[in-house]
Amino acid sequence: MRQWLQRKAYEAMAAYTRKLQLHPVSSIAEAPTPFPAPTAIGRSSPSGFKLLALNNLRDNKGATKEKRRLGRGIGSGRGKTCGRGHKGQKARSNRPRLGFEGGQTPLRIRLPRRGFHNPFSLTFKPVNLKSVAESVEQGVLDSGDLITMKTLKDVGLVGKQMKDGVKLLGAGADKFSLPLHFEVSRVSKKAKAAVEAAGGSVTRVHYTKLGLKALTKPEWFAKKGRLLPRPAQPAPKMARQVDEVGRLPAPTSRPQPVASSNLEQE
Amino acid sequence: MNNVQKCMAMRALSRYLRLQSSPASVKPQVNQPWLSAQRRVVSYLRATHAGGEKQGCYNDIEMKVTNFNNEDKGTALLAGDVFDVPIRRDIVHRVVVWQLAKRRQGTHSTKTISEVSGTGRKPYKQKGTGQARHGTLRGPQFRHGARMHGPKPRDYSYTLPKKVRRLGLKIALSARVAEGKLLIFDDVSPSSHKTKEMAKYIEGIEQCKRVLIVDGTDKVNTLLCRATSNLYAADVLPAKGLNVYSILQHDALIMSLDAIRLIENRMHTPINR
Repeated sequence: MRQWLQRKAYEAMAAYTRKLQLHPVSSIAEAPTPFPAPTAIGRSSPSGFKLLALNNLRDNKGATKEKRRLGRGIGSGRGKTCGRGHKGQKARSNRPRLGFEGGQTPLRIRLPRRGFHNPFSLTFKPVNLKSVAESVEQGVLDSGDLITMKTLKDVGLVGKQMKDGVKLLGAGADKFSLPLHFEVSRVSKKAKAAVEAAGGSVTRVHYTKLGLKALTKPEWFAKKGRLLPRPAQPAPKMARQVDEVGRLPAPTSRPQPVASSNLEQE
Repeated sequence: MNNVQKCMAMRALSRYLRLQSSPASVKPQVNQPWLSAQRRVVSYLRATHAGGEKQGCYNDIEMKVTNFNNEDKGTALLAGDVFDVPIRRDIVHRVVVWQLAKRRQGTHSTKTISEVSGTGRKPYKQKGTGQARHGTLRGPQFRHGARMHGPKPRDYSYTLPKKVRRLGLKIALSARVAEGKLLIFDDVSPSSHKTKEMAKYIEGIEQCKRVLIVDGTDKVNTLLCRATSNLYAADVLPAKGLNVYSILQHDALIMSLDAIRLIENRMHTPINR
């Protein structure tokens, strides 16, 4: 019995594969002028079997789920009450709004308001002198160039989200001895002192969020077909925290002092 | 462990074993009860090319290039990842359904009770007339009344993943290649503009009632347009407009070499996210 079944299965398989195989047909049709019939063009001229046609398309079995049809009579099993049971909140169409506690003063109203939101607060990503020195040692960061927030981000010192900019901090300041030139949003006193003691400089530059995007991802604007935004001026009350307006597109060298460039021209 | 996981695990295992045992004599010995009972999750349509080799192996395909005069114009190599893709009917089905849905105009409209012409006055008093109670004469049960839950203009289009759309086109092209119903011309410009001659040519193609001709240029060849515009049996598309539904509507596909390269290019450019 088992052998018979196996033989049957084998025969069925063979018949199926035979059906699917495309036999080349080498009949040559009469050639009309001026276009002769295409014969033996491409791979072959097969029999009439088609792999794909509009009338043999179908989706996978189980790809679509049948809709639950409610209220279509007793035979359907979801007739009178449509599977909702009898009476009550769950049997009705609308549920009370989110946070409604049946008329009792809801939690969000019962408790007092607390705290406040400062719309002017800025959060900076910290970057320590230690990690900068490490990446210069490893040769990832070029100590000759100006170090902007873009270079810091490209090296991977900032992480994925920059928020409102980068603040240079002084961890590892006592061992820092590289004459580097930085352009960052903010800098701690200790870090500034350490950099300047090593013969470098730190400039606190102002970028808005859009400006930071233009600094770190100028290709995003090119892809959208937009121009790079102009650098934003800092608000007057930020004057103490900021030295210069951030330059766009991303600078690679320190700005030439105006006086010296005038001298050169003369 | 569901079937998908089982299948993936088995594939990974077999790949690992194949890597481990390079001589062919060493066969992987796996004693897992579910291996024998594993089910195919994705079903391919099994087929072979005319040469006898298995279809759907992503092998590059060498095909003859001709023209309407049936001249030998050498051969062309078709990219295997576009023209030799395993044939999955379900993917093509999804693409076709999507195409048909998004082309629906959706301008059908019926009137609700507030839009039907007529007064909203109560026709007669609630009680005492001996008639059934009515609040309006334009309810859905009345002649000239409103339509309940009738169609309103709407958009039937939905988004199909771009990977699925792309795969659909590759499958449709691969199917035509496997059927031997893809002809490659170096130039789809016919030697004359006469419809009669074009009709004769198409009659000459075996097992083919309708043919789709795809031109590689942006603006389709004028001679070709003239020759085919009045023919049911032939349609013309620029390579830009090549799509799954059009391919399936026709039995055979004639593509210029330029069109082939354009399509390959289109299929090879990364999907814009």
